[in-house]
This record gives sequence, C-alpha cells and structure tokens, in this order.
Amino acid sequence: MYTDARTLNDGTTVQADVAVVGGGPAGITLARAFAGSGVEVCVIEAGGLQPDPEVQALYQGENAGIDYPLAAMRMRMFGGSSNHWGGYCRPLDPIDFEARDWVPHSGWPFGIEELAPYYGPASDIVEVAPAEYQDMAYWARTTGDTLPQLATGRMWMRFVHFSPPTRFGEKYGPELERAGNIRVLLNANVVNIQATAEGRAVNGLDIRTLNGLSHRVTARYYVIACGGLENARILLLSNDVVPAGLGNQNDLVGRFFMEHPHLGGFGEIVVADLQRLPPIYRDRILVHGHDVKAAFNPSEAFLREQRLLNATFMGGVAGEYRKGDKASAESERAAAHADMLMAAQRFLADGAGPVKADDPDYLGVWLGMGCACEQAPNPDSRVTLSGERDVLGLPRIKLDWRLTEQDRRSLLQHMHSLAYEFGTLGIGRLVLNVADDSPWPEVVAGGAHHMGTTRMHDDPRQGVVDRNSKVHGVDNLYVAGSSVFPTSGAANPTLTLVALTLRLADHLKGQLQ
Amino acid sequence: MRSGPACSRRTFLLTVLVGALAPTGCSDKDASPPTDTVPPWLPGAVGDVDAAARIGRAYLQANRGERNLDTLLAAIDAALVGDPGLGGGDTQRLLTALQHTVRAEYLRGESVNVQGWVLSVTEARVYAVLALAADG
Repeated sequence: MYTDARTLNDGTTVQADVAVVGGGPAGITLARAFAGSGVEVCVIEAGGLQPDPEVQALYQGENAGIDYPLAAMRMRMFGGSSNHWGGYCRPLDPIDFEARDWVPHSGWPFGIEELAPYYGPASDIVEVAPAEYQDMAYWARTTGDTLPQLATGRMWMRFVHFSPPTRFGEKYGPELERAGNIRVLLNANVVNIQATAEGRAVNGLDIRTLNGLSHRVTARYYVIACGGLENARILLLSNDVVPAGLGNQNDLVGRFFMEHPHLGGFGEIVVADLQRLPPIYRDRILVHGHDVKAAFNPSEAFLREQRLLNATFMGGVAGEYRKGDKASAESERAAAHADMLMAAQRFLADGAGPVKADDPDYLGVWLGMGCACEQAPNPDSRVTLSGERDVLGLPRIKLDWRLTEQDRRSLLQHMHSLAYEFGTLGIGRLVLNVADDSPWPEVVAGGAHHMGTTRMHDDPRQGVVDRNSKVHGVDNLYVAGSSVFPTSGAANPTLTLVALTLRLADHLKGQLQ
Repeated sequence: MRSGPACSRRTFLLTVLVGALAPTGCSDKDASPPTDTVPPWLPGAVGDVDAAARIGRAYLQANRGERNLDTLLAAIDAALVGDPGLGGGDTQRLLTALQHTVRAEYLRGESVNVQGWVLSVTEARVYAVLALAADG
C-alpha cells in the first residue's frame, strides 16, 4: 500500500514490525523479503513516485574535497538511485574481503563465501541471471569466439553483466503495493532517529513533510537504507541523545567515504586489427536476454605481489582512423593515434599489406578506456554536517572526498599492465594521459558509488555496524546498503548491496521469530 | 648463431642485414663495425617509416645518449630473442624475431614512455633508428 505522508493527519503515528528508511534498491529488496509474511513493514521514502526538483534539492550539499555533484549523484524518489543507474553488475572479488596488510583498515568480518549464496538471488533481482562472471571457457563457448588468454599474469578477465537496468520502484513497487503487510510511506523525510535515554535502542522515527506535517513511525526494528551518503547524515543528525550522532560513539560515522574513481580519458588504446580483439572485449554482447561485456582486472597474484588496490577496466571503440583523414590533421591526439597505428602496423596486424585488403586507407581504431578503481579506506575521506541548512531546517551534508597516493599508484600500475597485455598479445598500444609522477588530476569523476560511511567491523572501535549490519551499541538499529562496505573492491556496488540486504533480511527474520 | 663462435651476434646481424660486409665476414676487423647505414630490413618492420620516425624523434629527445645509429642497432641486436636463423638472411625470420622480442618485452614489462605511449624498449629503438636515418 502506498501512502502519501503529506495527506495524513498531522501527528500520525504509523506502527510496524520493521521500519525501513529509504525506498531504493536496499530498502525495496528488504521489504520484498517480507512480502506476504506476517511481518508488518513500513518503508519510509523521502520522495514520491516521480522525480520532484524541490525534493531532489534536499540532496544538495557542500564539498570540502574533490568536487562532487552531491545532488546529481543520487535520486530522492521511490526506487532511489536505481532510477538512474547504469546497470553494471559484478560481484566483489574474494580478495576484496580480506584484511590485506598493504591496505590499512581493510577486511570484512567474513569472506566472500558468506555472500556467495546471496549473489545468485541478487543477480535474479537485478535481472542478470543466469550470470557467469568469470569463466573464460564459458564465454568462449557462448560467443563462439576464441578469447585471447592474457599472458603477463598481471591481469585476468572478468565479465560484467548489465541489468536492463532494473528500476526498483517501477519493477517491484506494484508487488509492495499489493502486499497486505507492507506500507510505503511516500514524501516522508526522516529528520531524527529517536533513541532511548541511554541511546541503546531506537523507539521511533521523526518524520517531516515538505508541507509542514510531522509524523512518527515506531517499530521493533529499524533499518536505515538511504544510500551511502544519507545513511551517515541521518545518523549524525540524530544527536539528541548521543551528541556525536547515533552510533557515532567512536567517531566513525561518515568516515571512510569511498568511491570508485573513474578517470575518463586517462589513456587510450589503439588497435589495428579488430579481429584480434573479440567483440565481447570491446562491446556489450546480448546473451540470455541481457548484455555482457568483458572487463580487464588485475589478478589476485599481481595485487598481492605488488601490494596494489583492485581495479576494473573496460574499453569501447571510440573512433576509427584512415590515412589522411581530417581528424588526424586537426587533432593532436588523433594524429598521435594515427602515427602509432601506422608505425606499429606490422606488430599489430598480419602481413605486409593493408590491415583491410578492401580498404587500403584503413588504419585501425582507438578504444576509450573506462576504469573503476578501488579506493583505499581513508578515515579522512568523510561525510560531516554542513553549516548550511535545507528547507527542513536540517544541516546539509558536507563531503570531503579524498584520494591517496596509494590509490594513484595502483591505478598507474594497472594502466601499465593493460599496455603490457595488449602489447604481449600484439593487439594494441596504450597511451597514458596521466604522467607517472603526476598528482591526481584535478577533475576526478566518481561512479555514484557511495561506500564506507557506516563501515562493518566486529570491533566497535573500527566499525559502525557489526557483521549483521546492526549498529554497534544500539539493539534494534540496522544499516543496509553500500555504506557498510569496509572496502569497495572494484565492482559496481549494487549487486553486492542487494546480496547483503538479502542476508540482512534472513538475519531479521531470525530475530523476529 | 650459425656463424660460429668467433662471430659476434651483433656482427652477424649487421653482416647479413646491412650487406656492407662480406657474407661470411666474421673477422676481428669487423667485430664491432661502425655503420651509418640502416639495415635494409628495418623499414619493413614498421607500417609507415615517416610515422615511426616521428615517434622515434620523441624517444631520442628523451634519450639523448642513444642518438647514435650504431648504439641503437647494437641494443636492438642484443635484445633479439631466440635464433632468428640469420644464416640465410631471411628477412621474414628477422621480422618474426623482432616481433617475438617486442612481445617478450611487453610480457616482462620492459617498457619506455614515449610521449605517453607505453612501448617496448626495442620497438621504441626501431622507431629511433628510422628517425636518425630520416634526419640524416
């Protein structure tokens, strides 16, 4: 059932067994897990069923570090940021869960085996099942192509599956609407998590609407599922009992903000003979009703040997070159690409003649490369509250996103690895647009992946939530979503956060029995 | 090497490729012959000599100590992997040996940065040879 909080009588109290703050992929997944059960669930969504600029403006904030478009990187409406996600799906790698001695603050409380049973159902939810994420032989059989085996030991291939992308609100909203035990409260902004006097439990959520109404939701269990930025903000805002913010007794809420730095244009690869690079290495291939594309990832052995962070690279044909074409004459970059294709032609194509017998002027293509890099957990990369206030009178978010030398060094090493793989296979040549000794570029884009701000750790001095996603020290408060990731890996987070939410649902079902 | 122990690898490469020496000329005299001639097979290693020369100039700009044909050829010769079967002066086999050398250097991560391009060291030197030749 959908209820617009703006239409309730002022001062309404809604009661449930489980209150879920946020109607994005995590919140909707959690609610669905209880659909049709005897458990009463209330999903509290700050937005409505459609985007609304006035509502979206509540996501504006202040930047103290790398410039980050806080309002554009997420969506405050039912379905959350699934309303604008790209659909990239891949599980984290096993090494991402490990405590690596070269990555400070790394390590999950459990290994990938704990999440493995949930990745299958999660793949189903994001509509990429059946998903095969790493078996080269499977993809060679499926595509009918010979897939080049990477040779240097530095990298291996993984396979990214593309969700349609699933818009969680559109896809699963009707199911929640039909379920007799689920109420979706729309246009309801949680402004405070009210804790008991000792701060050991939550006894209600204070709700405000943009038309000036105040409501309250009470439940046995509360789950904050507002995304990696807002989860931290809501805990910090809830400071009437614990002055530093609920769950923030060890000054960890909001710290360790991680993104996947995307360096568009960090480098390009030129390829003379596309026959040496099978389509799945450069294009999305439609298989089993959804797209799949190969990704280049550093091998676990190389990460260990060189003590590096993880990364994911994908390429796509961005342009084609012919002898004497206009682009080469007008653009320094295009001229450099064309020169390299002409110079290295004998290394990159068979025979002494033209690359294409029927097209003597054809030189080859360039691949634009996208990368999503693991960012090391960094306590100084953080979310705090700004001095500015929103229309509800609440402090806006302040983000200080910071990257480190370790992050940069890893990226550069992996870019060299790509060059070596393409060179060893005689497929292409890579040009770097980032100097080896340069600092991070001034402009670094993120992937709208907000992670780490309520990190998971068994030790309350090192994590905000425990292995079950329960906030340390607060008996009935949980956090869902990528804010609990202690490390980010280099896989887009949605699949993993959905898997984690399914695991949390199982835990809560056990608690409710 | 098929040329016998007295003949250095480099000498033999130049003997066969440059054609400036007698085909069996492996004497002490030509153990380290200076040359200002580009081996005739080398331009065939690239798709376009002018484009290669432009890259080669950038390499030489950053590696001024190698602005010498003899130095570059010696380095290329020393890097060639395997036995390219030079006895017959088979250009194709030489080119194949160069291909293998370049790929092996990428495999080992033996690279140089030439205006951002990550290139195998020997590949860059081949381009540099062609740059020196073009510039006289």
